[in-house]
Amino acid sequence: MEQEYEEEIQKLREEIAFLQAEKENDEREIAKQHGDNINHILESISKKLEMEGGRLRQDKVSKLVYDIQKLEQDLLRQTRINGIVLTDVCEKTTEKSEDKCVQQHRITGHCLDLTFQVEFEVTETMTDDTFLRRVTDLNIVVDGNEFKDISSLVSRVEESKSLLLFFRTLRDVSEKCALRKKTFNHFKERCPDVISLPNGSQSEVMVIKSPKLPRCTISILWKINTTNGGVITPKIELLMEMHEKALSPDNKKVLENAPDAFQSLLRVFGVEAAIENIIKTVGV
Amino acid sequence: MMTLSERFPGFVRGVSTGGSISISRPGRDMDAARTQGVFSHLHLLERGALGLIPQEDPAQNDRVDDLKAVIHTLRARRDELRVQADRTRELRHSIDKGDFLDEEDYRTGENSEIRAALLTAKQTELKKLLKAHHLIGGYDLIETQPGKRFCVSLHTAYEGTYCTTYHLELDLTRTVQVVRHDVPPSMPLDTLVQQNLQTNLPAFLHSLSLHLNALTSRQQQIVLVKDQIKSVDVLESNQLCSVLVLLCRGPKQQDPETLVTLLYRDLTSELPTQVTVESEDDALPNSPQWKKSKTLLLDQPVHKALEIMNKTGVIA
Amino acid sequence: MDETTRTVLQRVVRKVPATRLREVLRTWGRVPARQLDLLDFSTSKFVLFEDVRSLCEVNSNRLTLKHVCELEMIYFIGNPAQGVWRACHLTEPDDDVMTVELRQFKEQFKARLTELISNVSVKIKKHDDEAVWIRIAWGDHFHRPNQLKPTYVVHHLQTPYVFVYNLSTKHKPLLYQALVLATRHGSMKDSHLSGKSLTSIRDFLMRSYQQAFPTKYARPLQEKNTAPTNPNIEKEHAEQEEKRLQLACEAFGEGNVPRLETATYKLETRYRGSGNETLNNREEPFRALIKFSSANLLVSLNHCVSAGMAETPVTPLLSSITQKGKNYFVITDKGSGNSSQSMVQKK
Repeated sequence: MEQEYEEEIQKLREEIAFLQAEKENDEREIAKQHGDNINHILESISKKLEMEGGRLRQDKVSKLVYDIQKLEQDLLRQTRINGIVLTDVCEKTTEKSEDKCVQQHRITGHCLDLTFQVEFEVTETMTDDTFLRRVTDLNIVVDGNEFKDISSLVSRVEESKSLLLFFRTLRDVSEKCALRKKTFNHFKERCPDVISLPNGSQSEVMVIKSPKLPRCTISILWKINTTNGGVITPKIELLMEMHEKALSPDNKKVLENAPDAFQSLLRVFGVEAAIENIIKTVGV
Repeated sequence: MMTLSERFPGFVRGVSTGGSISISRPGRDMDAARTQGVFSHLHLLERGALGLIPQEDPAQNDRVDDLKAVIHTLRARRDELRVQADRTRELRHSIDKGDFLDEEDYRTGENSEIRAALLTAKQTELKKLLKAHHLIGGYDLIETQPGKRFCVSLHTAYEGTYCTTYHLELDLTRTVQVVRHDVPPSMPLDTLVQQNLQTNLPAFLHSLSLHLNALTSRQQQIVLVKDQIKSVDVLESNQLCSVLVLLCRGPKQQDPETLVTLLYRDLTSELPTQVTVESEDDALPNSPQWKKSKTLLLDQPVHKALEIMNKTGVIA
Repeated sequence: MDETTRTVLQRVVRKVPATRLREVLRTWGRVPARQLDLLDFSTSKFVLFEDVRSLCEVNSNRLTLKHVCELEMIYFIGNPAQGVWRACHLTEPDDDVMTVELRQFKEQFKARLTELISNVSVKIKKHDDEAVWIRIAWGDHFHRPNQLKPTYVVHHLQTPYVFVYNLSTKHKPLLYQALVLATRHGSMKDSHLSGKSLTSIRDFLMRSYQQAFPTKYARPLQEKNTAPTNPNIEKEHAEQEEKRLQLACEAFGEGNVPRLETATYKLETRYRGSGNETLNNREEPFRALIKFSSANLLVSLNHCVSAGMAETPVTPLLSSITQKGKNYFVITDKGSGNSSQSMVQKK
């Protein structure tokens, strides 16, 4: 008797999960296809409601509009504080019982300049009143080849399924990347003849070529490394390439010492001033 | 008594100076408080009328009754959902075919259903986006008093496993202040608050989150050591897991025991900043294999380092 | 066995309930288990003491005070709920506060305390749960330490918390100074929290109990635990009830909360109502003492709020108990002419 009931309950739970997913799927499609129309409707209804003095009407549509406005406000707030914009989500329940639930998610979004698509599977279990939620599968695609900095992080978190670590670090990495891009672009705009960005402004290399020292190339290598725990350690180096003949022994010595001198400049003045200094030294 | 009744609403009525008020401990637990009252009584009567009140074996019958009630609820839920799902599908088709919507249609009764369907779709989409923020470890900001107070959650995880969630309630009235929290008291929360709570809230939350996740990581490592490395005893640790003293045994019976002390001075890291090895045999800590092990302990989570040391025969 | 050792042993045997005595003696390990099994624990405590004493003398010919104090500590650590524990707070930590470890702490504490007072006996024991237990028997220039009224101190290393049992005002500054130095802090103060259960006030202060915070996301599998309800019944006031319960849990914790027995408010305020000339315009502040007591205060307060007996939102005076981790408050007027009154911690 009990057995039968339990089986029926299990069946019902699965059915409900399936119907729910089906309904949500249809709704998501509608929202995707007709986003403009929906916004149009929302606008006109909220205008109408406002004209009526903002009084909340009790009919279904007004309630929906009110609810949507609240949700939009909430989403804006979460987006702002989390520093991550989510543009599309897709959810699928693959298993559902009294004490286990498996869901697959696909999330698309961006964090400053970095766009990502993350697929993951979440398994929730309940054993002896202990609730456990685990990421059981993780697959990450980050857009843009120039983001070398993120690739080692991606493979590491994929292996250990550290979903939360990925997003925590992503925010930090993209901030650091944005700063680098801004700095590189700043110099490129100021001295377009001297500075080049061979791999684009989002890459880690900036090259300085001085007309006064034609056989000498100075590269600024700005790496953004992450540790296993998700701590970011930017590393900025100065690399020299030169032809022996191009230099008098005096100059040669100066340039040989340049990488070390650059590190001291970094410590004392910070990134921007240090690079500025180097550009000046090569005589622009 | 002056403003007392304001201070203790509901408690102080006619209390004299030096008086003492006793509140007896309620007999019911909190769940009972939630369900008690007229409705539970009605529920009981209804069950009685349906002949569901247990007669012989109360435990057995209770269980069957509960199951019946669950089935009843679930069936109702399923039927309702089925109707909704079918309707949504139909609507999706008719919307896709485009038989709807010009400005005029909004006011007619016929299309208000389509309008509602569109809005419901939007609502679902927004809810899903919010849930995704939650799943990827967002701060789940909740306003507790409009414009004044809000609550943030800091989720922690060890690898793929979601662990403890910590909370802060913040007050924005004048300056940003922490009203209450459940962050472990040994955490240097005050220092972090001084550093950047006022100036940069996301930076503050980020650094607190780093601290809490590193703590979770250290906690989990200790659990794994106790679980997986049977020959090693955890002698000492603390709430922050900033100190870990381990007693290690050599692979052979006559090998001297070794005391390994790990200090985690960097609280944002899951790795120790200092490792010391002590043994009755003074030469042992300076032996090549222990020197190597020290480096290993600095580079790897402690349970992984010990596992390697076990495999290479440094410890049992 | 000298006289003091004998007296302390006698006290322990008298104090420990007969049902526990065998276990305590076994953990102590000074008498072989085989001989313990032969003891008749149902006889009078007087006879029992003589038996235990003779067994001790037979087995260890030099049973000292140190050993007997250890026996007392074993019993006390296992059964700390015998009186009032007070919580204290170490403040102004040094930079190297995190590196204090047990061996160092033991040495430092003993050295510092004996520098301050000549006749004192200190025993330190580390318990499994990471707590350090200290037993101090105090004496002075003319008297040997009084082993019958020891002070007990419990401290968790690398935390600012100290819990004290049976400490006289005379010895307070000495203990505080020794602790401050041994733990590398700047000073130490009373936390205004006390209770009979050490575990409770410790959990309460270290916040190792479940606090409630608002959340939007119920765990999907949690429905399992809620009782099935008839879908045809809709609760009119469910929302308000839910809200009250939430507020009550936010203020006083949920589930298994630490057991506090009292909350005391000492008022030193002025009367500002109208119509009562005798109370108005008095020079002296109005003094009153208000004491809430219950077998489990937090549960009681929670119930009062969730059942609607006390108003919501919860008055800060009550929610301060959990927020500030205190159960003794002194409330004074902030300043004359200022109508808003505030809670000022007693200096």
